[in-house]
Amino acid sequence: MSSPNAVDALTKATAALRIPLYGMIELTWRCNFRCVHCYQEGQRDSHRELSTEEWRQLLDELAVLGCVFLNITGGEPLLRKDFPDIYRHAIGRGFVVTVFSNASLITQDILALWAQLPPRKVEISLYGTNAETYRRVTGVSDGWEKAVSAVDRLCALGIRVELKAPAMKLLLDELTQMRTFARQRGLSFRADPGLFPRLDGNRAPLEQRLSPAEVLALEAADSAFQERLQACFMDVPDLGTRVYRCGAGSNAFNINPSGHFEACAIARATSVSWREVGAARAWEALRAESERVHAWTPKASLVFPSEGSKPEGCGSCAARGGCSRCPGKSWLEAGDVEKAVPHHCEVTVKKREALELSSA
Amino acid sequence: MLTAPQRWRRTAGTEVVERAVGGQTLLVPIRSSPTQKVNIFTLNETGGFVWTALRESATASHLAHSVAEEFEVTLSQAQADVRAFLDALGGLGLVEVVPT
Repeated sequence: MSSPNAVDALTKATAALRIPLYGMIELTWRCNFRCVHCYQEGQRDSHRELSTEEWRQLLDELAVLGCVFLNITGGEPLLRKDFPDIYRHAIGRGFVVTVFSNASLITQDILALWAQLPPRKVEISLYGTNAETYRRVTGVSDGWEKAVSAVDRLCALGIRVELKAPAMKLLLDELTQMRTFARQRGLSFRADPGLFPRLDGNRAPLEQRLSPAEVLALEAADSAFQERLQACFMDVPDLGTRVYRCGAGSNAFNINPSGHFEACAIARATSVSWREVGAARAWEALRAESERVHAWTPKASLVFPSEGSKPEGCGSCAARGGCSRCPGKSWLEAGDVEKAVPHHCEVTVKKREALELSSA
Repeated sequence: MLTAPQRWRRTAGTEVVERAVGGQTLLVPIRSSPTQKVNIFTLNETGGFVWTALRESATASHLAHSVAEEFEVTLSQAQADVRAFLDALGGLGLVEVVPT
């Protein structure tokens, strides 16, 4: 009657029902950091944020639609003075809440709130392992000191913490130290090489992007890397013809600070105002985006990006199972959810070469 | 001397939000232990029925009879299901025996 594996079971049971089980809400795009790689830079004052009462109403509507797993993010969500009110409301409505934060604003009041009503987890982004690196990446020198303090206080309360960092040039030499920091506390850590242009089109964040060889080296450090390569390239799965292979628009959504529904945090080609149409119609409006199929018909033969015959879209590329590109990345970088992004093509070629070397 | 059968109820003071999603009943404890990895519990139709019945205290026998009648299963099957349900949710601290 009850299942300890409730999350997986629920996801499977509702897969065909197009229930928006997973939601991300961006309470604000404001942030106390000024990260050189941030894709939201330039957006901070471009929208009128939802009020406390609007967020409460929107959360009520999301609960009715069947949303269960809610990520609260920003910008820095703790900058909203009404964060405790919105958080309490979400918990009270039965959402399973994860909070994304840079950990610089986790006050005693926030700790007391989370001790009383614990989140499922708090995901903390790290931007170095010392004051100087934090200053270079975020413009804030005391970020490291505050992150260490917040992580340790959260752990002392028994709150589940996960650590992560952007894998970028300024941080490449400190990823090992961050991993050690996490391991010493029994926490997980992941480094994500996914950097994008800003939402306003500015490509400055890409200056921090790792080279394809650096991305490969980072991924190869994972013990499951070879296994994943094998699965991606040798046992090519049936990827179908849909552009979106993730849950974006199918069972997941993003809501920006002014209440616009979008398929995810980076795939914002369709953006529907909750203020204008309400949650049910806004969610429904994402259906067409999520069901979009590739303009290119997948071919039987393998067409790898290095062979020069690849069409502009990614639908016909047999290597796409091993590619880290996604519609959102294409939309931000190439202006179209289907277009290839050369960086990801190059990373994919490197992965294939690594597999060939290991098989030789 | 005969003793009265145990009565079960939802654990006093436990705050659980009940959600209906995709035909399933979800229980989301809102003051669960922060270190608990799984924060929700799904109940199938029978589980949802028993959970609803436990708004009032009831004996396992009464619950089993209700389940057998509602779902047209044998009483022995219903008794086994109810026992498993009470054990599972009791282990999670969501139901308890009413103190005598």
